[in-house]
Amino acid sequence: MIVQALQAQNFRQFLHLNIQLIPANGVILLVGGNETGKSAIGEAIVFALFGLSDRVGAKTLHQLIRWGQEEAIVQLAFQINDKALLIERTISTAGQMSVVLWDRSTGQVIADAIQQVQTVLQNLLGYGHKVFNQTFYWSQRLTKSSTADLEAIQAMAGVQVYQQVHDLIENDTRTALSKSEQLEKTLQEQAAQLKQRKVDPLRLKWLQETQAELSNSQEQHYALAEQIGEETQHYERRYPLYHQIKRQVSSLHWGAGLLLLLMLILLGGSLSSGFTLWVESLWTGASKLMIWIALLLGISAAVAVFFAYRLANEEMTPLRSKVGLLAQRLYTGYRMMSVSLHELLHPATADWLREKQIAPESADMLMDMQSLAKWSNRVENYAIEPTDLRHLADGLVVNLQQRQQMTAGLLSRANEDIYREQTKAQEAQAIQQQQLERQTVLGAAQTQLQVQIMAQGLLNRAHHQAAVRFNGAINHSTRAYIEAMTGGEYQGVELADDLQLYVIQESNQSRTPFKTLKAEVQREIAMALRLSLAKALALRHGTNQHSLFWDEALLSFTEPLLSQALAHLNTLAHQSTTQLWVSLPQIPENGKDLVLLDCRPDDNVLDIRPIRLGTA
Amino acid sequence: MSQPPIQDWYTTLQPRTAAGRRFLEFCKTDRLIQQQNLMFDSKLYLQAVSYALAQIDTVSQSEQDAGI
Repeated sequence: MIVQALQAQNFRQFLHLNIQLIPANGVILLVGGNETGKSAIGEAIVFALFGLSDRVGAKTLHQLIRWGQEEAIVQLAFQINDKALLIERTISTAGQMSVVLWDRSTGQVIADAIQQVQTVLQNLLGYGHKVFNQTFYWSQRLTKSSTADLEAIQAMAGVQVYQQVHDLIENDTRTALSKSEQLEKTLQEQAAQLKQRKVDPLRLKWLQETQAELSNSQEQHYALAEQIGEETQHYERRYPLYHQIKRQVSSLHWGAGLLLLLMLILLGGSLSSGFTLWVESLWTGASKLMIWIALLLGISAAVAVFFAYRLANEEMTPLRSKVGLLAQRLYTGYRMMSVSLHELLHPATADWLREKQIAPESADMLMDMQSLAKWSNRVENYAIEPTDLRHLADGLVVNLQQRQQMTAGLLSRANEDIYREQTKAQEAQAIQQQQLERQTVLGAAQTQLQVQIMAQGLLNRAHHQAAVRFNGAINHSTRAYIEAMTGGEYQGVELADDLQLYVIQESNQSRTPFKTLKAEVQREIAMALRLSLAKALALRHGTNQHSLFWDEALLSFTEPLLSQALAHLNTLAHQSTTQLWVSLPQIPENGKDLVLLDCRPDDNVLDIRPIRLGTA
Repeated sequence: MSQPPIQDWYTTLQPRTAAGRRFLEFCKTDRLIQQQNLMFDSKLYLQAVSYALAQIDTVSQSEQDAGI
């Protein structure tokens, strides 16, 4: 694309702008002081082609209109290969834009809608606004940027995105790695916590058995104390009854014995012949009467024995049997209280008592079985005075209650142990659950990490391919431009796989990282690469004609390098059919053969024709 | 490990930018090379491409780079 003429009304500071007869090749110097409109000329070209501006945003394009005017119009005549075109673009203060693209050879409208014009131009040029900005147009704004040169080259190579994404992913990877490490650390900490809370299921079972036995023992002591208390009361109540019955039985026995004695006497007398004769002499038939009386006495004695037996069997035996239960409980109570709890309980439970450092009860606190032995039989026969038995029973009940209270205390401790074990088990379970969840998260983070690492590899390979393509595209044509721009100091550039751009110096066979060069050298190289890439882009789209606009890009160049560079660039531009617009504040010392556009507007009107320097 | 056909795999991703499209074109070729490796994990590769593509699309906005 070659600019042939430019006209504008009310654009930026210009009331009217008209540049005609622009040469197709070589360097075109736009020279003028501040605010003379050099930048506005470049802006007008960009606005005409793309409807955009590097200085104002897409939504504030009305700011391009000259102050106090209703609309700005820009007309650009340009050529792509043998196609002569004219584009006219208008912007109103309301932000309304219109555009028309004509074929100048036929005068026909090619497109007159914004999107349509954009599509046609994209096809004709082979690139859009961004590429134009990256390669063909150097805005004055970039002159002030410290990183613009490297970024511009990376963008031109199509690797800027890889560089940015590489940094993003590296950041993501660091985050994922840190997250993974944190998770692994937490998992390790949890494993240690789990170890501390290691639950022994046998211990819990043992504690539960201990708890059951203590509970059983407590109930047993309590029940026994209660029963002995009650039974003793019964004993006290039955004691007089038993002894009354006993006396009755005894009386009956005595009576029966007396009757039997009388019967024997009578029978003995009746058997004696002397006594029988004597009695018969007194009262005839008396001996027979004696026998009858003896029989009657015998029967009476038998009846007395029978009643005595019945009383003993039906009244005394049940009473003895009831008191037998008391005797048995007394025996049980004594037996329980004659040994320490350690001996009384199951050995496994006694182990727990030892674990809790509970000392066995001392011998003087225990009951003496021998003292019970003296009482045992007597209790069953109601032979102990109730007050004595009360004394015996109360002593045992007090001991049983003390033991029961002691067991209740132990039971409480056993419950605490069980609660602790169960809490530990619950905590362990909660930790295990958290571990599972964290392991899932860790798995996902590690997969993400793998994805990121693989993505980095992919980007590196994609970058490598782009670098190879970039190096291949520029190397054959860059040397002349770099030499021209650096005064022969450098010969080439190379985009390396480490995303770094290196500058080649053949004289000492060195590769210097681009970003370590001085700012002005970076600029020289960057502008050389722009020339080279613009040419490559144009060639790729089937044309060797292209136009570049450098707005104060060479401001850092000092004489004599500026004049030398411009002379070289002019030669190269002629050779490669390049139209290179270069804006400068003043004419270089040696501008021979360069074309000058003298920017000195008269009352905001700039109507100029190119002047070839050194030929006038 | 059996691999899905390249065409099917490729069409599951929709790049939004020119840089994304260029990257995906590169991945089509790259995948053929990478899958020569016996340890190649097609699923992981697709995840990596998808992830990198999303980043590229985010970074490179809607307009294309020169992309020489």
